[in-house]
Amino acid sequence: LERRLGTSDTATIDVGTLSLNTANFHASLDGADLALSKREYMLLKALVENLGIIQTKENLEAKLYSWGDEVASNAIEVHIHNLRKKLPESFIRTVRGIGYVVDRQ
Amino acid sequence: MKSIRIFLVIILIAIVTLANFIAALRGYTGSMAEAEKLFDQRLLQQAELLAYSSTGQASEQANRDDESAFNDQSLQFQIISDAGTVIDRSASMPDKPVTDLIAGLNIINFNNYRWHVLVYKEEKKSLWIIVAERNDQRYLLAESMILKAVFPMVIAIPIIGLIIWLVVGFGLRPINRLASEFRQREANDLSIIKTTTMPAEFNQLIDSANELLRRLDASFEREKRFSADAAHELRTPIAAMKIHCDNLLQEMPSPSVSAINLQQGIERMSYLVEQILSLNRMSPDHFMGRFEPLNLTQLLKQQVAEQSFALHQHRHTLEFEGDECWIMGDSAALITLLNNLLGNAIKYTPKGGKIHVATWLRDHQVVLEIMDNGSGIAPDSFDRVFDRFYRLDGDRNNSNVLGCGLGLSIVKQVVDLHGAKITLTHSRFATGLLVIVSFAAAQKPLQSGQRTIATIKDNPNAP
Repeated sequence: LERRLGTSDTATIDVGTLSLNTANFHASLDGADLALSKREYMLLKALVENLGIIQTKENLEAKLYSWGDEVASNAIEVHIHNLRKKLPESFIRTVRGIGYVVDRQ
Repeated sequence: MKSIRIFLVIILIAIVTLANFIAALRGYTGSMAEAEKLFDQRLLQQAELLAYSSTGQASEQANRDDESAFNDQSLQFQIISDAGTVIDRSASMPDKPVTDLIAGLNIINFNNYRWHVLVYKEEKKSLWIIVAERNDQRYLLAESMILKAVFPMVIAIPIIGLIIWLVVGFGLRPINRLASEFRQREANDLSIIKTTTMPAEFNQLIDSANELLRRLDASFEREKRFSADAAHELRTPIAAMKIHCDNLLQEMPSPSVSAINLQQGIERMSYLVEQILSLNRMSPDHFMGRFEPLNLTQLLKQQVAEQSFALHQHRHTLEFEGDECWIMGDSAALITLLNNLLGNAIKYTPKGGKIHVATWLRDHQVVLEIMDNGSGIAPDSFDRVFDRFYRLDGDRNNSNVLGCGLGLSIVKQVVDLHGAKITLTHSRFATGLLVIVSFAAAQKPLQSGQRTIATIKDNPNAP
């Protein structure tokens, strides 16, 4: 059973100052465009789609990579690291040993 | 309670003894009569022998004393001429005829004894021969012979008694077997006793016992089902109440305190019903799980994710560390276990608390740890918290935390279903509770598509 917040079926997801357009894979922060790689975008989308719900690392890996892809053990960490540089501080919260979560603003 | 074995042994020995006694008595009297005849015959033979060997002279008396048959004090003789004078006699016989000279058997007294006397007429030599035998000696001889024949019967009685004791014990063994069948049963084992292995005499007893067991089983079943059924039936009205209460709160311009209390009450009731159902599902009688290799670590992380809102609401910091562990288990049951343990840690730790969860692989054991820095449990309550509806500090908890005192009972049932062990102890934080559940480790299935996960420490971006 997967809980989804009601925002996932509309084209844009707004979390604080972040806005994610799921129709055209476009992200903006404070109205300014945010340049994200495909994987970074997918990662951020997975997190904001499940606002407030901890996403386990395994869960994120499954969403970003198709079955059989060779995934480096720290791939998610690297993407999170890159994402954090582009996002407000503590926008993505780490749950040590489990995964990441974007809290409701 | 009398022992059937002792009763049977006593009765049988009594019967055997009585039968033996009667047989011996009959044998004794019969044998005595026979012996009497035999002895009389011997007298006659002796008389004939004497008549044959006698010359009618008195000179041979000295030799007679040597004759072995007559040395025996029991057998004496007189040889008497037609004229009535004793011409020959054994040593201890008187000079005069001891009885009238009338041929035949007789019993007379002389020499202070009672004698059997045979008077025999030798026609050719014109001699009377009197042969006498002492009655008491004849009697002693006969008796010693007969007693020798009867004596084994007396010895046989204790031997028969022993054999009866053993045979009765052997014969009564099915009773012991039936008794141990009942004794070895678990308190909740109401299965039917098989009649095939029992002797036919027990059929009625076993049938009655089985009938009783069947009725007990049915009534227990009804009893057990009742709470579950009741809880299940309550679900629908509670769900309806919840919806109406929510609607009511929405319709109200400013929600009243009563309405909010009502909502909380319904919430609590709904939780209680769910917990009762959960307790019932995890009871050994109703558990219908499927055991399969499970990634406990993964399951734990998923359940932590499920509790995201509660964790955030309480501003708790949760951390996981440990190995990836596989156990044999039922996922639904384990999810219930994890939810209850995590729920407890979240609920009973004051806001902004620390919760530490871990799964470790230690030898062949998988150790699940859930630790918080809440107020913990006093060691003397460690056992009691598994009791149903037991809550620490009684009602004080009821006022601020949603709970009904079933969580750890459910946890214990799941632990028992998995043959695991649960330990409560002090947290490694300054205060709080550490719950340790140890399972038997299982092999990770080979075909699993799980990616191996290495936790990188000292990396700020690492989860």
